[in-house]
Amino acid sequence: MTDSTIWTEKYRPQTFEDIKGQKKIVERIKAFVDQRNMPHILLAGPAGVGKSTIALVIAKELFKETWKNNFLELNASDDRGIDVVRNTIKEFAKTRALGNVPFKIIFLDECDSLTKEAQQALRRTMENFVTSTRFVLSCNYSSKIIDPIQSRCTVFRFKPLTKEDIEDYVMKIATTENLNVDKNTIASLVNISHGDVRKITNVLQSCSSIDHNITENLIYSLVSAAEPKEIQDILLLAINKRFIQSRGLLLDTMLKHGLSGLDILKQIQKETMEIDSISDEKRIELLDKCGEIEFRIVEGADEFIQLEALLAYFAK
Amino acid sequence: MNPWTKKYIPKFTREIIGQEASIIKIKQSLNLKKPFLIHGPTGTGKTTAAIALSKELGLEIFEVNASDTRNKEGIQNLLGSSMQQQSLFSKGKLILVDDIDALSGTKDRGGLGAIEELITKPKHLTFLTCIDPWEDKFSKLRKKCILIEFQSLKRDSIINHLKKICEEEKVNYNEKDLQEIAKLSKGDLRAAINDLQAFSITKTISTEDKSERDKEEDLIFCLRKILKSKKWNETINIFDKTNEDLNECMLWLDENLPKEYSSEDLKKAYEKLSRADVFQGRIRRWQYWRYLVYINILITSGIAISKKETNPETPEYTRTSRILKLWMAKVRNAKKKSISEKIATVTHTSKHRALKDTYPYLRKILQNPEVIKELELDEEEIEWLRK
Repeated sequence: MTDSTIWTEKYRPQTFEDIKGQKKIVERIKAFVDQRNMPHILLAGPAGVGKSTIALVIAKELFKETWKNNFLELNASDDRGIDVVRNTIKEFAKTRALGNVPFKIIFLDECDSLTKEAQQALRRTMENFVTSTRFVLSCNYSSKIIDPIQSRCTVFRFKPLTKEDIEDYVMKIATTENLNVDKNTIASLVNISHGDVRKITNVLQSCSSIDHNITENLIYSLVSAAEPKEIQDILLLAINKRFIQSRGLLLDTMLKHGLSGLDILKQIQKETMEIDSISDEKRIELLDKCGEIEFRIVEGADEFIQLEALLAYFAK
Repeated sequence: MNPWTKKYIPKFTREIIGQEASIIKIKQSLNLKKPFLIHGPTGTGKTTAAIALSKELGLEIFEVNASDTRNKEGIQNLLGSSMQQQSLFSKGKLILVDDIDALSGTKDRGGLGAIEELITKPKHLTFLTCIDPWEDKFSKLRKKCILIEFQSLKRDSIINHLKKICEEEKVNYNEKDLQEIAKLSKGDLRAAINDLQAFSITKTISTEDKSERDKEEDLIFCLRKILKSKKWNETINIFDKTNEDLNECMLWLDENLPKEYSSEDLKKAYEKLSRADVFQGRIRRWQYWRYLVYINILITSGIAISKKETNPETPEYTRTSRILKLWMAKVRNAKKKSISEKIATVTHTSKHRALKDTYPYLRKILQNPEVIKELELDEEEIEWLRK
């Protein structure tokens, strides 16, 4: 436990012993740290299952009090271009490690968002500075990481945390913070978060500011308040041929919540699975179109024009 | 028709108006054997002065301007040899490198460095021109050159000059129109002379507002044609007549399409428009400009023939407000973003994830004094959270 005011940090495990799940992975990585030698590491797995936590624990256990000097943390989804690899990473890799440590660590989070170019640049850097620096990379999907990088790393695949792991973790928070939780609460937390512990912790902290009795209802009301509800209305307007109103609401929703075209698209896809008023034949046609539009946006098209084209498809 | 800007271009330095002091300074410094950097707004006579000087001094002029490839190799090819060689019949040379601030960052890479190198020991009289010499990238160049400033012209000198041209050309004028032209030129004599020539033909002064409005009318005419006609031949060349870029046309189409089309027609038309947009993205990405052909086809005839029904009504077409709304939202969301950035740092996550997964849940908690302290939120951010 740390003294952070934000619970995801406060309850982030600080040592290998603290980490609840991922037993096998923790064991193997701990062995590396005990020998004070390790390969480059690639941590792959869904959000909120402990990838960043393990990276931080490696640094803390290996470097002790000098960990902040010998550990560079970068988030690839914020700095995704080749310049980061060429400048920031290379600069850090070049300098010598401080204190009595065998090497420094560069932790590159969310590597899936690195461009292919940047990944290519990274692979040379990983080789050239291997005497002074180790890389810990993390990603959601290892398939998005180019083979040459994967082959230079030991890959650890994280599984979603088990119900028991999550229960342990939630109970620890509940005891420390004086919260009342029961089995049902935990089940609904797991349900809304798809096992993402970061999200669970945020929801819990959010609930605690309202009531120390954490009920199912409280959880669902908070989660739905934090998520935009307008998507369904947007689609219904489009289906009922009120296109201009539909796209107006679309733009307002995107701007109000600061959502990207892809965020919206994910929700449209989910809603399309649920809408009753369309035939299954139409449903599959629309979902196929969703995929096409998602591809185009990823490829660099204008998200608004593409989403409008999708909405035009919804009209009966 | 001979443009007056050419007809009345000064042949001698004494004919250049408004820069007398600067020209004297040039003439006095000629024997220093250093290159000159003439700087000042467009249309004040920078290039003209260099050319006039070459004639007065009996030098052969060698000019490099923005139409030449001016990367490192380009500059060396163009200038390297002529900087060293004596010219034919051993006439001296005057080298003019025009508009050095127009060197392109990507396509003219290394060009500035090559210029710096070549002017270190100039064998010939050398002039460089630019608008703003105080940009960082010119710092080395500034040290090596004699800086000569050309100022934007006073309104009265412009009016006097315009009067002379009017008398020469036997154009009737009244004082007020000349004042208006001079005012619009913002000290750019070339622009003023151009406007005067246009005025002498049309008898109207084209202010910027007016031309902006004309452009919009053109565009609306094209839009009307595309959205009302069903014929390929009537629409395929429609945008040839406007000067708007296709991107702007697409925004207009996007805004007004749903006013004219519905249901199946709307779906088909949006298919075309969104395909055009895909090509737009590919141009940006691959810099392959021939895709413009397909964009043009898709958004003209492509959209025109997508309809079965023509809307009998005539709705008013409007400019899109999306861009403005986007900008306003950006300003509004700036605080949300900066707070999320601070959350991201403390919680070892990305800005995007902090914005989506943490900020919406912790909005209330973020107002606690301890949290504010830990995240080092500033006054404006705290203010935003309280709203």
